[in-house]
Amino acid sequence: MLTVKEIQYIIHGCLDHDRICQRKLFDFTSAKVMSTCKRYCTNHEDARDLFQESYIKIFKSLGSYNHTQGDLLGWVYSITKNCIFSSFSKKKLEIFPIDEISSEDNILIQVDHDLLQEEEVLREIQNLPEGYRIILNMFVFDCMDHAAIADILGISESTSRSQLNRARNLLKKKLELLYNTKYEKSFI
Amino acid sequence: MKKVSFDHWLKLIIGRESIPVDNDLEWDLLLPKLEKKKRRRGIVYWVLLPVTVTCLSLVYFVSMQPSSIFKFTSTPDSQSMEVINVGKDDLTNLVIDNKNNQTNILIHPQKLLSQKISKQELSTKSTQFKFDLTKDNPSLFAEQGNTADGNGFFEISLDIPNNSKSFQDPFSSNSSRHSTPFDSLSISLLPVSIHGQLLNEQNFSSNLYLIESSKYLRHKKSFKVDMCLFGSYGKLFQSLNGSGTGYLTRKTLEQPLDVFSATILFQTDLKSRLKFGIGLDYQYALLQLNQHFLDTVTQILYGVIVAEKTNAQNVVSYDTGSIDVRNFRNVSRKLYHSRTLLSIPAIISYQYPLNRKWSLSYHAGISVPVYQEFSGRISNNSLRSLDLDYYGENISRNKLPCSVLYGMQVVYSIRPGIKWMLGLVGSSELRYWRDLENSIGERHNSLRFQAGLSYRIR
Repeated sequence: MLTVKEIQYIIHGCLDHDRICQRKLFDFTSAKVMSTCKRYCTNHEDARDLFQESYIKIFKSLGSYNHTQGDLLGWVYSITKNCIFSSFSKKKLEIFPIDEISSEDNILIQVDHDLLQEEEVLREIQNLPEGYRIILNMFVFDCMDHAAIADILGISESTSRSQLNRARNLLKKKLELLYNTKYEKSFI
Repeated sequence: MKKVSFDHWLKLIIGRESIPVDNDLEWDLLLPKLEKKKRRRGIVYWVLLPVTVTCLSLVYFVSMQPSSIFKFTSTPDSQSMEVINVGKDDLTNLVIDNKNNQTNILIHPQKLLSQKISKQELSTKSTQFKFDLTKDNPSLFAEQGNTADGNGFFEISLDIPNNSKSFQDPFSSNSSRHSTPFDSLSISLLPVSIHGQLLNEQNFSSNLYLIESSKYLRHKKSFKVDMCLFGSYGKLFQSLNGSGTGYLTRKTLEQPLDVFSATILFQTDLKSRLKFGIGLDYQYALLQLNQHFLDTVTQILYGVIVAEKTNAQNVVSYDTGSIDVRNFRNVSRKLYHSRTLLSIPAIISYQYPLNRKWSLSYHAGISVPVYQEFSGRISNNSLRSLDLDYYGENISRNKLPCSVLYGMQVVYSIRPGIKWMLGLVGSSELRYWRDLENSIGERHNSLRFQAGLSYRIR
């Protein structure tokens, strides 16, 4: 972890367009930013575009960062999120309204599934339909409520709820299938 | 089997961020986009903006120029309206508007310089004339005063044939107001350059009024101000002074490139050919840094054999795992640092006229720095207590010296009061300004092409 002095030093360097400082900030935050971008995108190329766009915005608006209001990584994460959400407004999302089904917020999963790798789970998230994937990401990982999701995506709260429920069930099914396949294979 | 919340489980799995990111690759892909963004901003701010400002200023000044300096009005009786061109080249336009009971005679100022208005017959039974002598550009009038004729007088003669009587020299010293019944009007030897004398309303008989004829003439010896807008582009020179590795490194790495500047200058006449100007100068200079260094790259290799085992039956097995490998690579980069400088120039210029339109201007002066910003260098020393070996960090702000300005320009008079200038201008800092820790002095000079416009604002 970087100290406050180091962070101040890096920020000042970045504001002066010092590439070494920019690179330091990049190394410090790239894993988080890339992981966030990958969660929202279907493939690596799209994720890379968002990743680059996010960093351009980060370097541009670094002057507005105040270390007293939160840590640098959190600030970078929020900038990345804003960049991703603003990209939604540029394109029409494919969110098909579906019949509202009973919301099951408390879906459970067996702990054994912990054996699955992050990359495998991420791949399954990426393979979800666009609407499912985005709403799942916003609700589960970014801790947003349905009102906020509905506001950003321009959909109703009930649509958001139903999409989330479908996304959870579909993802769980896929992960269980993956787990079973792997588990059986390991015994064969 | 124990079950947990699906959302919580997902967060735990994805939150590990164990997927490696190839930082070098991603950085190399990002770098051109960062450069592109920076370069685009440079073009917009430092090239297009001055050009746009100059063009807009030109359009504004041209549109503000009046079309005439004299305006004569009368109140004729006849019912027709006609426009008569008096003289050859639209020297004078006479507009008789009976509907509004007004006659307007417009005399173009430049034609008055070398010609006299010939006698023209006015086919009107006009008995009442109201003369309104107005001019918006005092300097123009002052210049023309010297060139009209030897005495600085114009002669204007207007004859009306019916019941003609003549009127001579309405501005003579012993008569400020005249009362002469006439149908024929002749104004001759109109004094243009009267030292400090005002030509106010004149009545010619009971019918003729010369209203506020020369509120502008009084400016002959008054305070004149020219506003000049310049844009310039040229080469920056940097000289370093010092010793040691820091000095040698900087001398090797740094390469001064371009300098752009935008200047606004207000000039006033000291003598006939000597001018003094003061204003504001905004300068943007670029320095290139050629960086060569070893970059450390950490690679994580997965599935590498980390141990070899042999059991009792001499069967060999391998343990695999991930290992970190540190590589080094040579990096050569070009970085661009910029220097922004705001200063107040004060210059004295001497104009040598070549002919009526063209002249040469030589100037010299001093520029006092007000504000400086150097990207890639320290702006606040208190923040830099660690890693002082980074490039440029140990260059502290010392008192910035004044600069000497010098140059010459070719000046072309587009129209009275508006001049276009093109020339060379140089600036040189008077002394080295030092880096306090390493005792490295630096001094910047520049040589630039300059183009600009000058407009007489009063």
